[in-house]
Amino acid sequence: MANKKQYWLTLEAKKGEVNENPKEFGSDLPVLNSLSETISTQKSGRRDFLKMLGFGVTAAAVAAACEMPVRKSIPYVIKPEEITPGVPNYYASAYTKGGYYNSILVKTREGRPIMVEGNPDSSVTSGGVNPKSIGALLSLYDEAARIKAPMKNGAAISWTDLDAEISTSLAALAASGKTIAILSSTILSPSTKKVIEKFASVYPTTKHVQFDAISYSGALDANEESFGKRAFPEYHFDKAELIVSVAADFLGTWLSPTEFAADYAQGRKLSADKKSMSRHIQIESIPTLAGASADLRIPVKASEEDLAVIKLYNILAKKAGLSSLSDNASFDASKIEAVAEELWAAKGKSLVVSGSNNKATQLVVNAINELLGNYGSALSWERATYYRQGDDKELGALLADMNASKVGAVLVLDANPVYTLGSAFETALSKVEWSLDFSERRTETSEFVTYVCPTNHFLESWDDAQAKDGVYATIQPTISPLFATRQAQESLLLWAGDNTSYYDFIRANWKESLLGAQNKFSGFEALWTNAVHDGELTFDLTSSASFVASDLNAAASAIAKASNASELEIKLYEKVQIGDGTLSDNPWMQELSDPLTRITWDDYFVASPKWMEEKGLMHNSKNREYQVVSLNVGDQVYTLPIVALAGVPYGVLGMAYGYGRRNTTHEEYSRGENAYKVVDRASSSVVYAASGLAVQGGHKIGIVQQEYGLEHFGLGGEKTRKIVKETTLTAWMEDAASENDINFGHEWMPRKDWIEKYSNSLYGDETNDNPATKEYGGAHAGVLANGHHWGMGIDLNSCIGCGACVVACNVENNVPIVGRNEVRRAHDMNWLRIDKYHTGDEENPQVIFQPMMCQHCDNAPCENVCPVAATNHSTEGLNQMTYNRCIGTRYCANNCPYKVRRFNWFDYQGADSFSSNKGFALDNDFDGNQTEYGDKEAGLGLHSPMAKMVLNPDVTVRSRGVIEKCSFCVQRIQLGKLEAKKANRALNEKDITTACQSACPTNAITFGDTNNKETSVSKVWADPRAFGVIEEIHTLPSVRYLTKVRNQKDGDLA
Amino acid sequence: MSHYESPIREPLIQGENITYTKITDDIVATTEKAPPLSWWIGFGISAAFALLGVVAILWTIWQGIGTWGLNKTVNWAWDITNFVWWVGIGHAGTLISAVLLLFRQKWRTGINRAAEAMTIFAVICAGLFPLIHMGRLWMGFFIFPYPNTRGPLWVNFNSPLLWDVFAISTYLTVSLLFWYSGLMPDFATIRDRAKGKVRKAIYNALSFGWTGTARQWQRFESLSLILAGLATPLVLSVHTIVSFDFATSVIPGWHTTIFPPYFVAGAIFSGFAMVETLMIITRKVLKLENYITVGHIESMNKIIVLTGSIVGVAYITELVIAWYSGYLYEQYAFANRATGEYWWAYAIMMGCNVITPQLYWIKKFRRNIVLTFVLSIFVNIGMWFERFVIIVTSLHNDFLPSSWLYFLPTWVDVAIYLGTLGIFMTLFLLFARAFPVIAIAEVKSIFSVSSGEARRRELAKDKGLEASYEGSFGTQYADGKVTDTNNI
Amino acid sequence: MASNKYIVGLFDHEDRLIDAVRACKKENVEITDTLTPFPVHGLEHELGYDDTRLHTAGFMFGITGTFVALSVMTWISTSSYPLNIGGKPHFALPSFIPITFELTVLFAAVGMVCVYCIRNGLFPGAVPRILDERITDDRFALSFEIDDHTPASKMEKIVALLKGAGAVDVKVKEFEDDMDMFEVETSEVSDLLPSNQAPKAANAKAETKKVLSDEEVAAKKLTLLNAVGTVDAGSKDDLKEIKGIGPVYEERLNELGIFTFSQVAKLTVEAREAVEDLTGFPGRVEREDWIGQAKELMNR
Repeated sequence: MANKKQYWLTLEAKKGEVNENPKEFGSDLPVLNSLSETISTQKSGRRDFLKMLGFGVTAAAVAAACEMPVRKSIPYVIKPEEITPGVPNYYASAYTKGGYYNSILVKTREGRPIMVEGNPDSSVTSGGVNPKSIGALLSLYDEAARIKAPMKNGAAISWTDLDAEISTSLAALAASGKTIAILSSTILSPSTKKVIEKFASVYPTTKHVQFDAISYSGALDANEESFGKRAFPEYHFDKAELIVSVAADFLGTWLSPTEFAADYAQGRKLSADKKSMSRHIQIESIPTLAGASADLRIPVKASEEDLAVIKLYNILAKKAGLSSLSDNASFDASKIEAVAEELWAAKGKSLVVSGSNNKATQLVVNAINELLGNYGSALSWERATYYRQGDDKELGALLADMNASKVGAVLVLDANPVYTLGSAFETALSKVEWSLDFSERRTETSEFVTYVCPTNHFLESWDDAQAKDGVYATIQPTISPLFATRQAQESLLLWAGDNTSYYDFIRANWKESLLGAQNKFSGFEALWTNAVHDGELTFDLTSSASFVASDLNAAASAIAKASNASELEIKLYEKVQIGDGTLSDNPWMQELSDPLTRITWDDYFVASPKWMEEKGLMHNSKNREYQVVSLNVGDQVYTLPIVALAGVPYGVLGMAYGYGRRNTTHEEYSRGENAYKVVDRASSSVVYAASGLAVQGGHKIGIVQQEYGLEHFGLGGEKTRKIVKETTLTAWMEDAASENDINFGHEWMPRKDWIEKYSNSLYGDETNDNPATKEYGGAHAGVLANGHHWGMGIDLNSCIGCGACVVACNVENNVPIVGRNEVRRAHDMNWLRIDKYHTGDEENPQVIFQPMMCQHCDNAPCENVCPVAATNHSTEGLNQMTYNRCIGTRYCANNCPYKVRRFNWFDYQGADSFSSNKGFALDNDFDGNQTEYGDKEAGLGLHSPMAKMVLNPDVTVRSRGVIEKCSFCVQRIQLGKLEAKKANRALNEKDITTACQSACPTNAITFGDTNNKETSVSKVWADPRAFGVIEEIHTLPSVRYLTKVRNQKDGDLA
Repeated sequence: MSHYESPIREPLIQGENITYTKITDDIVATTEKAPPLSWWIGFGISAAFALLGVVAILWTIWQGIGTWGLNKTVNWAWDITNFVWWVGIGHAGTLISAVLLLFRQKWRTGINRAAEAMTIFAVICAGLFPLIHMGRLWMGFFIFPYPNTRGPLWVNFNSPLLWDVFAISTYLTVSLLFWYSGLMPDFATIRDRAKGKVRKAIYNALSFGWTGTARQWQRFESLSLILAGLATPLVLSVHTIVSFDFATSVIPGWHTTIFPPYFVAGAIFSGFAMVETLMIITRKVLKLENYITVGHIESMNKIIVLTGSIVGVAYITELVIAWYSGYLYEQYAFANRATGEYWWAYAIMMGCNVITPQLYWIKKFRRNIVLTFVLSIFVNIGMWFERFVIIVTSLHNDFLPSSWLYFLPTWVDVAIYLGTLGIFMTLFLLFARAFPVIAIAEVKSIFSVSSGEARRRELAKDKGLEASYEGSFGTQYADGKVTDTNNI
Repeated sequence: MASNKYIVGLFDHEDRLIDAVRACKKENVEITDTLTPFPVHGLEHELGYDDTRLHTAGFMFGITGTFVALSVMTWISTSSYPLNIGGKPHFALPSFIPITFELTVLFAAVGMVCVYCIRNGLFPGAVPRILDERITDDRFALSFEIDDHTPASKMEKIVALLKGAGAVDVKVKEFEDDMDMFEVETSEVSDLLPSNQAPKAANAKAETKKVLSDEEVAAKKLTLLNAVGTVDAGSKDDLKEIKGIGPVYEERLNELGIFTFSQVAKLTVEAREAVEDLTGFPGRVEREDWIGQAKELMNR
């Protein structure tokens, strides 16, 4: 300025008396200062950027929470380099809660995580995603439940005061010799463990105890005894030709279901090139996802599960010339004998797993696998896996110490012991001087402890994880902490007198422990950058473990002792969506229906239909009124609705973990009973006797699919609807199109004959010989045959019904959560649902899953009937829905043969034209029927301004009164096309994946251009197993399913 | 052309000393006297129901369609059931006026005015449902093909719902014109009897200044005839198009080619039943027994037994065709209809529509007022259930058993239905007070030709023109032409 | 308006009306209008009216509807907004039929009713010339337009024809241009002919009436009041309750000093004549049986 000519307007200005150009603001914007500082120091740009961004987001959110008209926009002063508005960024991370390991990609838009997808580069979960990993995303924005600042005895306290108080107290405790216990769930992070070590080195009385809410301690103990490692071997379900699972739901909940499902599907896929598939036998009481996919499911009572393992061992031992164990099984085990025969035949190519937490049982299972020579093929100790590390013995010891007042402080990390360990823990905790919970949200424990040090949500944190030997993952923040929270590790370091950030600590730890242990990367930065970019690093290594035989006779008697049969047995089980209860206050998880009962939101007993009939407990399907029963289990009285589920053995009741949460923000979400209350971790028994059955009245349940089978009586007699088609491997080998029939009048004809004869539509040219346009009917066949035509293929052989696709779809497409009452009234909104059908015997049926979404019919019945043309067909074969044109006549929904169109009955998302509807409480009941639980409370829904941050900005949020449905993720299609166009190349199959497809752990879903015969979807369509649902009505669906093939033997169905 | 009226046919107008003035007096009297207590009670009850309906409708619009019992599978239930039911009822009026006019059925004159009014009110009630069943009523104008600035954005002419819009609005318009053109001369009658200035002014405005010149009457007759000619296929087309809502769909139980004739027959059936229900009350309350005679009721009962039987045949045909098709979804849909979870609705439908009307084969029952009243209500119930059965049983269990659901209504569903009954009765009661409930001019012309051969003969004798009247009621004119006076 | 004056013949049966029409035709007397309470069949034929062309108009409107519907739908579906709807062709003729039909009917009906109203002069607020209030009840009327230049012979002929055909009443009705329909009775000027007087005499009488001297008026009033007696205006009855007495007539009677039913009931033959002379409404007292009505009303 000084060198430039000065221009003046007034004399005063010329004299310098008036500052002609006053600064607009008194001082510089602090934002710019701090940002430029960050840039100049170049310390950790990302974190500070995220801080700034987080500030903006938080400010907007906080401001929005007040009732002021606020423009909720976040303008950039300086646009961060990696953010382009409208273009998503993906960050690799991992979900590791409670030992569930899932390598993920977090999609962010303008600095907000909005979607969790599987990391396709992961060597463990290989692109699949667990419903829980996605569900956890919503917990991040759960304004009501997150703890926003540290607290002492329920009152706010500053971090400084808290740090001072705790440091002093810890030092005093260490000096007095009192134990400082760190009680955590399974911790996969090596750096966290290092932090704890460091902490322990400062406070030597520190004791770290891990425990799992649903214990795997017995199994770990058994492995320790058999192999000297307190870990699990690697399970290769793809390498096993025969899988025998005794009550292990390895596809749904057991250990690492996402990983196992991928492997399992690998072994089950069939094609012209791969004509073999594994055979899967499931022996279990309560039906599970694994049981549903099994070729043969053998139902046994809960008390017989472990005995079945002995039976298996004995027969195999006999064949191997070993001595057999005492076998006092009183049940008919003829089927199990047949299983043993098969296992013997498949020696070395089989896999036996057990879900039991009885050490004795697992010892026998280890012995069976050893006897069959399965270690080294389907089972391997090359890389031990650490998905569960809880130790109930240590926990027991800690509790004893606590009760003996030997413990000075308990620091709870990533666990909710007050809920999962029950009153015994509460009593013990009250004898401790003080307690502390590193909890990100309000839980039973956080309400009970002295101090709450809120930690970051994992999407706000740096961390690492080691799921297996030689497999390391990084967890990176995708948003700056929304509240005044501090990562637990950072707190521990601080109290241990270490001021380094946890980020630096991890890096230092990796540099120290990993750099030397591998030979891929020479420099640390390369290793680190790669790890953060890929999310996972895998090092080659080989280790092994040798089998040490145990005293199996002792084990057998322990099993016999534990398997105390009773007239009415209660079996506790874990649900796919709710799991151990960590996410049970998450509405996405609650509204994901149970794959087998198709029930949402409610806790209930499952029981055998026959038993229910006998007791007169059957529900009324018309008004969904279920009986509520109370039962005495141990010292507890459990009162829950009771639901018939085919496949539950007579005299067994299933009860799920994860419900009955108390003292949490969203208590009403997770109603029901706390099953943990009866769990006795000291005993190895898995069966609980129930008595005193009493009916307590009725209860309406939110069930999304009622028990209707596929066989129905019509005027032509009993007929089966071939909506899902299944065949056996033998039949498929003979004819690849086996069972792929279509109904034509009175007869069934092979689909290919039907296509030949009737594929031309009413308007088409009957004599059309052009193969390109022949497969499209209608007047626009020529248009559809040119350019892209989007289609989907779903392999029913691979679909295990886990529901990951459903959650992914909900998140991607802003599908509303409607709440318990609305589901009860069959107003559920899922665009994608997984239909379940039972076939065969009512007591032990075969289960088949069928993902069902908009079929994008080329001759769509819904399009014809819309008076305002709000739904019509794109030139690329998409059935398009124009929400703002829709007036809500619901005619399309009626005329949809697949019933996939969903209507916004109420203002579910706060997007109404009438802004008077201020919010939609998840327990809203417009029927005027009060639930037995009493009053309504506005729930999480998607109405809170912060929860709305999870919405995908690429997808319209629908208002009340319009129809919505699956769009084949049209926003992703457009994005993919644009990417290809920008790169000036032809569209690649990988450019476009739908949300459901990317989430699917088994790759059951393929999507792409069906006009391009090279795409995998075209190959699926060309498969002789391919069929469209109710094709005979000539809707020309763009979703084709592959007939399910079961590897069944003749005797299986007997 | 010439038509012979059997001398033994019972007179269409009964009673002693009927003269033109007495006809005028009798019919207009209801509009001139203060309403009786029974009218006030009826009006009070109807208005209360109408109010309930209005409250329920506002609640629906305010909260959303979710307040109804509908669910993800059954997206239409009471709303469209009520719509089709009301449209069906709305058929009798125009049918009685138009078709019977074309068929020269003179007995229509006693009931056509009220029946036409009933048509209008029923169509108003019917039209309410397609409106309020929309999720976004405030965007309802999208349904009209109007030029707009949103780019070329038009409606879908393939949608039967759009056809409905045109059919219902055309039907309402034409019915209104037909009804009103007939009312003008009668309003003039009331005007000319009116004492007060205001009353005279109102009725003059209503009469459009009718005087009754021969030219006017000539055009009146021509208009009536052509409107009748237009309205007759219109009546048939409207319910045909309503049936297309279902027939052109793919849902088993809806996708049925028999629907158009079956719906039309059903509409006539329910329409006549509703006319009977109303007229039996009206003739009693307004003391119009001379004009709405047992003969009228018997004639209507004959039509009821005919259309009821047609509907019955249609029900059976559906079952036979479903069986014969061999198509399992179709076979199931109809087995489910009759024996599934909604068997009771099917039983009510069969019982009320097909079985009980068969009593009308017996003359004694046809002429029994009390029985007719009861059965007419039965038919109304039965026809409501027919639509309910078609809509709900087809939807609740369609192709994929995974979506099958049972439908239960909420209080809002019930209140809206009762509300439309209230609105209908309120309008009808107001009509009965202010409008001539019987077409005065038409009754007079009926009276003029049928009130007594003796009187004609007497007149003829007076003038020595006896020969002209021999053998026929026609009048021979100077140029030798015979115009049939019976062709009204 | 060519004329405001009509000779009106009223009949009590449509057959007599037809007789009168025939008679007029035979005598070549042009009938201005024929008014009836309901359509009398064959009347238009007798009157020699051409068939109405209303149906032709209806047909034209209908065809317009057909054309508009088909062309607009075709244009929208194939050119302006061609969409793939459920695989159907853009020009889906079967789908267009229902709307085409409906619009045909709608156009025809609405168009025809409009034409009907225009041709008949019907519209809300129209002020009709009501020749007699009983025409819409039970009287059949023939009207003949006359004016000041109409020869007396013609009028005579008309009245004779009407009487001959059995008219229950023949009268002259005059309308003022700014006539208010509620004051229609003010325009009723005279009864040309007592039953067997010559037309000319009638005319003369009408003229005579006009020049009735003041003394004569006073004398007649006296006669009248002697017969019926005087009453106080305060105790007046609502004379309008007597059928045939409207508000205007009531006012006239009041002017003459007649206020109550009892006075009406006492109208002697002379008094009656006096009333008729003074008010200019001959024959009505007897014809409409005012005395009988008044007696009834008194006894009520």
